Amino acid sequence: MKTLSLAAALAICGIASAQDSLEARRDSKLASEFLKKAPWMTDYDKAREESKKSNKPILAYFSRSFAP
Amino acid sequence: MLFCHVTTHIDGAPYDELLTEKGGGGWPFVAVLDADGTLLARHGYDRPFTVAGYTQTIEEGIELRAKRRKGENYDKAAAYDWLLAQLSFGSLKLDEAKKKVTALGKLTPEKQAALDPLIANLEVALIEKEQAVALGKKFFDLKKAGKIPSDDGTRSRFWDAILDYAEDQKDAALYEEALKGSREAMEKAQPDLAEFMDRLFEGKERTLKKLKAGGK
Repeated sequence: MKTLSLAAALAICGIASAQDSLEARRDSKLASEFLKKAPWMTDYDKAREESKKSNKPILAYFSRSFAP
Repeated sequence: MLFCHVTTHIDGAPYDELLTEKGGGGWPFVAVLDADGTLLARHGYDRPFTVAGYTQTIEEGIELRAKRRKGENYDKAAAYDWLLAQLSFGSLKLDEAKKKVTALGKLTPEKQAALDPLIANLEVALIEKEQAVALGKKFFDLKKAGKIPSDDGTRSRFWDAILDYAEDQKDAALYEEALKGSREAMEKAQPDLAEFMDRLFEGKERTLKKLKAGGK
């Protein structure tokens, strides 16, 4: 039972650590230089809201942070 | 309006599947969207990654947006063009498409001829889905009777079909069981694909998460 609990705890830590890594990669991506060179929005809800207010379509560029 | 979407694979991240929702198959991918998120144009590997290429995509998106507006204001020619674009993007379900076709009224033979194959795409997809679910139900009945195939390839197809049925029934527990069975069988049937397994099952793992969360 102790072994099982330890294994479960290690598994949970592994998952938590993987998520932390994904979050760190996301934060690193969002701090990219290219995002500072133009007024890029990264919030989809806000982009749609702004598009509606300004009557301009959205130019959406898709990228990823979970892998290189 | 510049928007950068980042797929993160973080549990619970909002709109993490926006890329596939807009028809993207990989990165980089660019799309022109209307204010409500409706797809107006897309630029993937089928187009050149050049300034001219992107300019053309953006201009197409702006032109289509204008047609959408006109179409919604009873301009039938514009409504037709908008419908053709939506069908080519795969943005409509069959019943939605049929309603829009009806609203267009009588079309010239040329316009009807351009529209029919696009509608047929949806009709075929629906029939295929219905048949997949029916097949999955039959295999599910075998499973309930304790009949699981021993041959790895057959077992892989068996569980894959049950996945379709489970998804249709929104049965997260059955989907999870079938997913486990499908992966185990595929790992044995195609050991040369071992390094790609996570990638191959990525979409199905996302479906399982949605089912568990009570989503469609």
